[in-house]
Amino acid sequence: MNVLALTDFGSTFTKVTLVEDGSGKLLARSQTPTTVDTDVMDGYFVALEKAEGKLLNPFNLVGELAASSAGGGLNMAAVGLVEGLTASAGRQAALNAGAKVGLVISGAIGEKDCIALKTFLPEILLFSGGTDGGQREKVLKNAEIISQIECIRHVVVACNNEIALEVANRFKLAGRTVEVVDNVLPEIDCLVIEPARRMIHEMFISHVIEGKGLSKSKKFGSVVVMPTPEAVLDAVRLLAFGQDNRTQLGGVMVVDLGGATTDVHSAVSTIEQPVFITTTGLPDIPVMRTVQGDLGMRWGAEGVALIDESWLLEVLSRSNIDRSRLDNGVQHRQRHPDFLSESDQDQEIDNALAISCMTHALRRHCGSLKTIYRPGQGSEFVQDGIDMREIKFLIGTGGILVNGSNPKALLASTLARRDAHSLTPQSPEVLIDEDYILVAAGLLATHDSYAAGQLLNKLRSRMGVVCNHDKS
Amino acid sequence: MDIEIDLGQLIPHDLPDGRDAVKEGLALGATVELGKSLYCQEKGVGSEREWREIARAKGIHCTTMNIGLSTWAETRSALENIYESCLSRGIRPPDRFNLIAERRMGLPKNMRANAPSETGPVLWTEQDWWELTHTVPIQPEAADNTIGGPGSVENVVDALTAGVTYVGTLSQYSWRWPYWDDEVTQLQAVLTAGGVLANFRNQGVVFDTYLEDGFPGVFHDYASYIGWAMLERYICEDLIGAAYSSSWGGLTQNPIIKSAVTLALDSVNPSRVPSAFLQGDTIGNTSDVDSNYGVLVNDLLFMKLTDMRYKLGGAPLAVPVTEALRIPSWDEIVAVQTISRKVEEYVPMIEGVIDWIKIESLRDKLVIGGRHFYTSALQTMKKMGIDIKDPARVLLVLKRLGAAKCEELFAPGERNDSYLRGKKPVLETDLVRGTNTKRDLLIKTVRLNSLNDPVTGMKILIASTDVHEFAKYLLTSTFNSLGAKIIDCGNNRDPEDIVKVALETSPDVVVITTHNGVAKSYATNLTNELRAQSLTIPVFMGGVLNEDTAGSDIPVDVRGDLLGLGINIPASIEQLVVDVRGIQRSVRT
Repeated sequence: MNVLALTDFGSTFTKVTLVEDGSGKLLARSQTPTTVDTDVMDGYFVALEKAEGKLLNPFNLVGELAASSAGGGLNMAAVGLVEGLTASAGRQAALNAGAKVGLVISGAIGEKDCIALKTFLPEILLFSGGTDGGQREKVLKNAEIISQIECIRHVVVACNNEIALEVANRFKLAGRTVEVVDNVLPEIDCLVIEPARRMIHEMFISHVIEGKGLSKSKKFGSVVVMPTPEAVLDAVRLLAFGQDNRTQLGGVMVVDLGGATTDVHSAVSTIEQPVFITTTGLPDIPVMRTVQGDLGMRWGAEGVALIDESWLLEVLSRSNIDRSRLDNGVQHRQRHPDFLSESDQDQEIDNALAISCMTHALRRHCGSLKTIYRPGQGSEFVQDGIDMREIKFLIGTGGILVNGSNPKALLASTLARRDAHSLTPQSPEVLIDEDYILVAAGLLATHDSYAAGQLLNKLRSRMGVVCNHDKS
Repeated sequence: MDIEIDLGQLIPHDLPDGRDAVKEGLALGATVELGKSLYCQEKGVGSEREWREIARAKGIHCTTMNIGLSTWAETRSALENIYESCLSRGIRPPDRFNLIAERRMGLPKNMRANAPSETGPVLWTEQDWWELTHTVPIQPEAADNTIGGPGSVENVVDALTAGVTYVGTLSQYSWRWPYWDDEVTQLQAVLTAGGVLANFRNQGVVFDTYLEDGFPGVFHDYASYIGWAMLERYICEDLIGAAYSSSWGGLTQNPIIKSAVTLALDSVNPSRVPSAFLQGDTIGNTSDVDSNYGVLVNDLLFMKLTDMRYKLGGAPLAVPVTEALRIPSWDEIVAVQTISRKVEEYVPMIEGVIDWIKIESLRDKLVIGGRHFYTSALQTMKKMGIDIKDPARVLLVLKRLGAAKCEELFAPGERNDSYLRGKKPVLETDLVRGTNTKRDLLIKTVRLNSLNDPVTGMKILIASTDVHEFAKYLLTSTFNSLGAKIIDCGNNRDPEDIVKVALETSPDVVVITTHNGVAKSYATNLTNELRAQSLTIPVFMGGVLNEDTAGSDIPVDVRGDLLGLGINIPASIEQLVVDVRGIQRSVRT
């Protein structure tokens, strides 16, 4: 039997999944703490050995693929001209590439922006600005200033196509690695993020991953093929649209609840808006990832308590947890990210924080629809963002959703908190990716999309849908 | 697909139940004594409706005129002159007239004296009301500004007491009256007035509407007219309990279409209440008075042919040929009444050669489309939890939606973005037809003028400050046809939105159309924002260049202020094209 090892180098755990080559059949999985302090490959070999030990039949390990979010994942900055237009388009391209977008800068780059870039040290910078044939001078000026910042090493240029080569040249002359792709916003109502996403992926593999110092072994650089979030997003895309891009599951959303962030991935069939709805913001895209850096169970706990204080106090008061107990609990989690809840009250706090994180992450990921009445002029129905009310499946993964006692109840409580204007899922079927199949399937898809589809059938069977695509 | 919006958000939480307002009106009506006009006395009937049903059965033509001079005294005198003049010329005087009262009549009585006067008569006293029905034997309708405004209840009581038995105008409930911003109280007044009328339903009293005074006046599809009339009838007859008449016609020039729409309205009128009047065409007329006679005769002929053939019991209204130029004098009204009576002689000669099957086929399509609009509106509201048995809720949701949204939501037809409202109309209204003709003419003119120096390749950012769609449509169509690249920012755009898009796209010019009384403040914010971003892009503004200011109910002209801000204000789209070409030239040189 030929076996593939699919690995996720996570910030906390390294997870290895073994599947049968060709069929995608799940054979075994194991995990060990990520050995970021020594060499991440140390932990990998331990996990691999543990997984291999679970195989009952003789096998040949014919391939190893990995995704990584160890060492902070892929850190990116996005620069554009206007927040809500090119700056946001650039951020979305980076997010869909699985990056952690720690800095988004718009407008005319100034001293403060330069300091922010020098402080943040992005591994890749996505540079955008101007629609095709649009703004030139301000974009070129931004390029001129940023090209002089020494710590910017790798740049993807996705700006006004009339000046893209000129922009790239400025970065090249300053000694940066630079690649030009299609504009992320060629027209004011047209979002094109796929070329930028692909180029970020290439740069991550060719320039970034080996430079992170996570391993001395060259093997690490050869097995890692993408950032972990990109693998999840690819799996979500495959799950929703199938190998042939035709199978429609009616929309899939994944919420990945972590200690520092809450990520939401979605794949929906974008539909033509009814004529009576006015849309604002960037055009809809069918596959999307958002990351909420202020919503997390540990490093992000204080942020969550800040934005959802009254709800947390109300819900926890039913378990006799008062403000003081909540404040202490939140601070403890923030200071001790490895804290594991044992008492009932601590578990109640964790559950409430989880619902808070997911509620706000879903609201920010999905669009909103507001009715605006202007006396004398009539009404307007304004939609900002994607309508995800008809999402059929909501899959939870990460932390408390995999290890907690009743993760589906947490997701159900999250869904129950949808507000009137929000276009969050209305009544999806809730599932848990307890075997971390999504990352494995996203990785496998880079090698064999048929096999990846078959691996996802384990999740699909729980959705009541199994796809048997032709192997072609 | 399902409609995914929540119309319930349009209803205030504390909106009183409209049924209570109707009950209040019914109780009030029980205390009112219905008067008898000179006309009804002469015909020996209890109400105008009674006579109209007799006339319908006997094939007697009825006619209407509009009248409303500066004061009631002048109007009364004109009525006497019209009546006497008709008799002296040997023609039957008009059967009825619509009193075109001044807007102050829509306000509560205690507010009228202090409100600014406008053009038209006000009935100040009981004597004025009595004279309305007893000056000459021509039956009046208390029409404009009687019902619709906050003064509806007082007006309806006065009208009935005087012997007016067709009272309007329901569609004016969507209007705003000067110095009155409480639309909930205004709505309650309309419903109470409706309740008063309901009390006299069996005595022939009718609640009239004039469709074009409401949303149908800006609908793009005649099927929506039919659907809207069905909604008004549902509210009037089923929810309020009053008899309903849907008058219409002023914004339609094509006589075949007018016949089809009139027949469609009759098809959705199960009680066959004779419509108060069929308005003559007001859009075909021009400043060339002689040509207006052509409009008049063709319009009248088809209105009368349809009325007689299908025994509708209507009363066509002949529009004076000078109406486009001035308020018609009494002798100009007599002139067209004389023509109107003459046209009646031709009806039996021509009726047999008209292709009525074609007209009936159009009628049937409109009825199907109208039923779709009506059903869709009520089902959508019901699905969203709106109590569709409460006339206040139904009327308020429709009012707050506005005409465009009503049509986008409820009109029949598949999605088709080549039409402004996103659907291909069952039968395009003359309003749209007229706009398209204007657009085509405009494009032809500017193309001719631009041959040697077109605006091809120029980037033009176009936006509207409000919901008005036609002006932006004309602008985008015109510049598109000249080969310019359009950056369409859409409707209801704030200055900040415009500047953001301008920053990214670097347009050659920004063109703003505005009709909502914000021209100065908008231009100020826009120029400030552009300056803050160091953008030097020429800005053009057109439309209604005024500003609503505190302390004045009339918006103030701000063209001087705009020029001071450096905004270009061309007098027409043709001039705009010339000016934009000038910018192109100066850039080239």
